[in-house]
Amino acid sequence: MKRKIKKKAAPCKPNVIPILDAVFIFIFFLLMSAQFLEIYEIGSDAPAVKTVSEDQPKDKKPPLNLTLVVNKEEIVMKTGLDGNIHKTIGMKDGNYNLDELAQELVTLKKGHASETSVIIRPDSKVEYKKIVYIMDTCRELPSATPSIIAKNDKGESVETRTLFEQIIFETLI
Amino acid sequence: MRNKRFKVRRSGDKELDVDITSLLDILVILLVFLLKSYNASDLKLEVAKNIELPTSKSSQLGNMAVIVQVSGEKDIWINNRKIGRYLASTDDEKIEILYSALEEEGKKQDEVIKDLETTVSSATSDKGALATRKANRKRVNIVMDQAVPYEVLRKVMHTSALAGFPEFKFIVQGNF
Repeated sequence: MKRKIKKKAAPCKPNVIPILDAVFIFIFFLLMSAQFLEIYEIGSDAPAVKTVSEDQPKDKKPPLNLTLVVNKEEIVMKTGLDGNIHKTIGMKDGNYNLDELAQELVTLKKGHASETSVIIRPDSKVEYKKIVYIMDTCRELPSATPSIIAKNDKGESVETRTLFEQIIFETLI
Repeated sequence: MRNKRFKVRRSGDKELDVDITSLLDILVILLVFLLKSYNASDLKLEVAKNIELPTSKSSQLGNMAVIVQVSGEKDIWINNRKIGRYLASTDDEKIEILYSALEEEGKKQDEVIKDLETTVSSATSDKGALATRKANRKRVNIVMDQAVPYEVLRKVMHTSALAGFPEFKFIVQGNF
């Protein structure tokens, strides 16, 4: 008795042409809209002047009024309305010691969780890139540092990763 | 004779089977790469000559607004149009060429907003465009070479604020 050998059916080939068309259109669209330089922004507003009447209730806590005076060789941190020197940050390997600055900013933020602004007063000769590094340090916690948990003005406990994100340049008139 | 030849050739014809696997591989890689480099920002920037942007940890996407560029040689551009060079000798805080160019730009923007306000229909997209224009009216994107001293930046910011652009956005290169 002879066994019938079944012939194998030819493998079914999927029609990939419509997918290819779609992929080509998608690639074309992406190529047109692609920006190969990753561009972001850091915001800063010109300082606004506000008239405060004497009848207005005074703040319970004195404002932090954090000011960073950026000289060619150091950063002087000043706080309070009188501008008392809080700390002077020196240089490290030819650059500002931004780790130390970050640590100090974290300490200040823990005591003033509701404060979001910092005034920067750079020297005329300081390079733009160094100012950007300082702004970066002022805005956010370093990635390795855990989030800050502190009490705000209302006495509520808040967790944050932002430090002083509102940057104001003092020399601007 | 000729017909015979053709007949032979035709009988040998088979459906051409092109292997597109490698092409598909390339396309998929290209697609992944392009998707990774895509961002939703409406800011289209052509960085001028001799401008090296500073790197930053910022991840905030830029928005379309007036673009002021200052190169390492202190040449100034507004919206990709060169307007002149910053002169370090002047003690004046205001850069005159920049001020007049920004004022002109401000007027143009006001006219566009006015036109949009009169012609805007009830369509949500039109209203959205108008709202975006209004929101970005006072904004200036500052693109500056990383080696430029603060003196120049200060004067650019001062001039921009005087010309009606008090919201500064420093354009930086991502670094994270």
